[in-house]
Amino acid sequence: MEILKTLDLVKHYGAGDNAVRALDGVNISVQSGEFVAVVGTSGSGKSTLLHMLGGLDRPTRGKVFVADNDLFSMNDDALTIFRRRKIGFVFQSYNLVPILNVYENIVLPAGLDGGAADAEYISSIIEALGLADKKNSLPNNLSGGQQQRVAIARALSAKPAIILADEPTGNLDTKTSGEVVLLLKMMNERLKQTVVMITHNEEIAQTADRIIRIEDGKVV
Amino acid sequence: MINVANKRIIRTLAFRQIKAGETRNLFAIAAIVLTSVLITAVVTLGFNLMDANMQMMMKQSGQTAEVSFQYLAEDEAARIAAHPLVKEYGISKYIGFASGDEWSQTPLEIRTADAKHAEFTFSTPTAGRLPEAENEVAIKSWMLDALGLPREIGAAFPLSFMIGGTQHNLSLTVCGIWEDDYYIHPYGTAYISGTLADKLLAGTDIEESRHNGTYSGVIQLAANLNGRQGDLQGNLDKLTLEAGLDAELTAPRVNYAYASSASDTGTIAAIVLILVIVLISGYLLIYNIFYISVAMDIKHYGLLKTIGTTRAQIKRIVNIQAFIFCLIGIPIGLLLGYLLAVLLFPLMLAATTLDASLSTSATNPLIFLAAALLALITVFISCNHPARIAGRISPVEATRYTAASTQKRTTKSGYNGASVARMAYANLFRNRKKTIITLASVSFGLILFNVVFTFTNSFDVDKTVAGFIQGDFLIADGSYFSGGNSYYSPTYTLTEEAIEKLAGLDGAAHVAEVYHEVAEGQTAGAGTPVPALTYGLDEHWLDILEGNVVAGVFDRGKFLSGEYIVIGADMQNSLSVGDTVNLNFKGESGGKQYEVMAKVDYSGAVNVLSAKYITGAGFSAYLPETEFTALPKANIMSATVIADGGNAAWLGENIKAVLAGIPELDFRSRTDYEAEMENSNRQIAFVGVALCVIILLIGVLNFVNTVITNILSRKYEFAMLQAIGMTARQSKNMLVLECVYFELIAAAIFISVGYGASFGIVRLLAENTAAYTYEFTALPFLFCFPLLGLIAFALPRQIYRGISKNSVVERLREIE
Repeated sequence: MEILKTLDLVKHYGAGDNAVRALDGVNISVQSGEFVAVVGTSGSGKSTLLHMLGGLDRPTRGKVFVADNDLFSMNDDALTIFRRRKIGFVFQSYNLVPILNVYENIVLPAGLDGGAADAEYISSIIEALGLADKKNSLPNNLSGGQQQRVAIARALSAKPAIILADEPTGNLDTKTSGEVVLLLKMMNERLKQTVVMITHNEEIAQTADRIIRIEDGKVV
Repeated sequence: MINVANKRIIRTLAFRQIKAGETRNLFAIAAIVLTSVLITAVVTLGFNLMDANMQMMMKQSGQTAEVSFQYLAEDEAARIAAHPLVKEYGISKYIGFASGDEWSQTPLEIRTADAKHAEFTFSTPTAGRLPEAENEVAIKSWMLDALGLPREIGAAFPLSFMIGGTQHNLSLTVCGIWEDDYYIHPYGTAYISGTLADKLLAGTDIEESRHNGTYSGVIQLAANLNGRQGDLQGNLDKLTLEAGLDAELTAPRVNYAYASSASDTGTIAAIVLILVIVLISGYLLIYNIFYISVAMDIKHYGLLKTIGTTRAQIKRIVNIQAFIFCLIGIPIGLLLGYLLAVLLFPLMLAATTLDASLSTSATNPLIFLAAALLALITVFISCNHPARIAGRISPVEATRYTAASTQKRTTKSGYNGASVARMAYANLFRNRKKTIITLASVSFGLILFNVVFTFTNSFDVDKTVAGFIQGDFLIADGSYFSGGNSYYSPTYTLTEEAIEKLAGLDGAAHVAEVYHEVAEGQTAGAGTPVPALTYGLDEHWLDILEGNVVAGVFDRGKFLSGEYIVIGADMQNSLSVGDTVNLNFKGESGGKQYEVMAKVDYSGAVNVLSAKYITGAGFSAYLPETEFTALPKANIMSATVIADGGNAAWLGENIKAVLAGIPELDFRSRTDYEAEMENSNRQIAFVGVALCVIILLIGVLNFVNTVITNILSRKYEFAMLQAIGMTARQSKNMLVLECVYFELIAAAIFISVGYGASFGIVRLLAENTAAYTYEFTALPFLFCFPLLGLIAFALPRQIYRGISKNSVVERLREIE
């Protein structure tokens, strides 16, 4: 089943001579349960692509479908609500909320949605990601690897249709990077969780089921 | 989408954010406290002032009841009392007028009254009680003084009066006394028991006494009504009609204290204006604090948005924080503001025509409710826009957001190189909106402070004193100076002999007298004569008369001929220029005809030449003194000594020596009045300056908050600048310069707009009140700017030191 699809996705920044074609007609498709790596050099447009896939930024032209929903036909609020229910994010800089503890960070998307999180499911993720003894810690007391694991747990907590990971290992050392990617892979396999991961690291990309390469805003 | 469950996480986020931002909390709470202090103080002062005004009007009108019927018969009173429109009522029966010399100037009314009526008319005995037994009487305490009796219950009080041609001479026992108030008409009141009244009135036909104007046995009924307060007149008309009364005969009246509060509009407008100013300055501060706070937390809000927090939820996070700050700040502000108002109100009364006896500190819960509501509304209006900014933030933008991003300019020409001064100047307008708001807030406080300061500084003693004394020393009987607080029984102890002595003193150029007599004034064609307060004026006063003419033409020669009079314009009378009046002085038969030559404004300088007591219908008339010196016994009301310009203090000592032999006489010097006026002006100044200092404080707080948050939000920038070679000293200098430039702009605004505004406003006010003349003062500038300068030099250095403790590398990494 196709869970993510883009249609002639175009994003230009600036205008005239200075126009930067960050994305120049991208068509990709991701199947449910797939682990896809998007690879490209810096400036290739891969981060822009991820922003579009997650509905964080609007494209100049083209469409993005997540679980058959046309993202950019929604207004800002609808898109925000869609995001917290259907899309999980993992960022390079973790982006945990510093004033909430680990557990509160993890259940934040569910809390914002007004539903109680599926406690059993949440505790199983926490267990699987090795965060059981850190539940009450504040983010700034955690190592980078631990923070990223919290971010992964948060992304999983709402049982999203897809997880978008933007250079999830960018701030981590080689050993920790390996651990984090393996955790992502494990979650992908165990929960049949679709994951799209952006990276510039070929080695890490090899963990994925499939690799999409981007250069100058185009899929090659 | 209505969703209750998500409120918990939103609340958690808001609470945690409060925990994380201590400095911001302090500023926000301080801002709310200051704003609500001002709001509460102004609202309380306003309420108290209106309350005092209302009380004064009630006392002047003589009663607190909403309506009254002056002349009723028994059956009519009973019909009104039984009417459903009447909520509560009090009844008083008029018996008669006391005769006797003591009561010639201050009439004494004899009546009965029930407890309610006594309560309605400020005459509930404070010692003893209302009369019950036939031989008992309750009276105003000063009436005992008038007869030379001690103020004691049980004293024998003689009372003589006529009813229906029968003379009664009674000696009653005082069973109750009460104090008279400053504003109550200086009329005597003696309450007798109902049984005595019935006896005295036996055989009196009330209908007849109502028609012939003696009013013996006629009932006065005072009542509060049911129904809408706004339509007292309508209700009273309805009541009169349904009780079947003749309005002409029974004289139903609405208490004018409740009638249109037109005289209050000025006060209310002033209070509303001050409130608006307070609200604006509070808005500017609270808005800026929240705006800056949101800008600093923008990445946080962007992240929340990325994770899926909606616009409405983020707005709620901001609003919950504002609400918590209000919960802490508003009660503190209410308390402090109320205390401030209680402290300031007596001083404020001194600035008005109201007497200090009205200094009630009303604890109307409505005051706190209104003040709290106003403060709450101000806070929520202030943080509405910042909350919208936070809610609107796009997730991707948030991660890139820096405080500098509002600049529209895209190019910058020229190659001047970089200097610290030029960078500082450029930084000043990095966030134009923030700078402008802070500038507005600071300038607002400064300008207001300047206006109030200039205003009080422009107080013109000479102009004001002119309403109390013309010349250098005012000499009169002691009662002349005691104001309305006691009954008026002028004894005219000032004699021609004393005046001759005064005129003979060294340094006295002239002594100008004012003669006074209450005459019977009879206008052609009118029925009963009315009291005419007549004054005989020394030639010295004629310039003042001429200077205050509002109708007719003042001709000095004609006036001195003794065939003409000048009358006071604002007394209630139907006289006009050209009318003929017959004035009958005491002890004279027939009187003399005068023609009205002109009308004068009685409120200003002419007031000095007039008696200070209140009378009923009638008019005041000014005549040359020759009309009085011709009388067998002329009463000299006052004499004014005009000094020849030598040593006035020495002259004062001599006058004191002359008067030492005549203890009944008293005198005031021009310097006495000047000191008194200066003092009352100082009190007004204190109230104004106290409120303005808080507004000034609001501006300064805004400035301080902007400086601190500005530096904190540029942590990374300073680390980066240091990395490329800018020393800490240069950075500090740059920050100080930014503040200095800011203050230079504020100074420019202050000098142009600030002085322009104070000139314009004081000039405008000076035109309306005689007491002010614009006078330039540099003091506010000299007071405010060194203070701001001190902040500019000390604060940025201190904050910079705080953020630059770690090494450059650490700082750069920390912020990543």
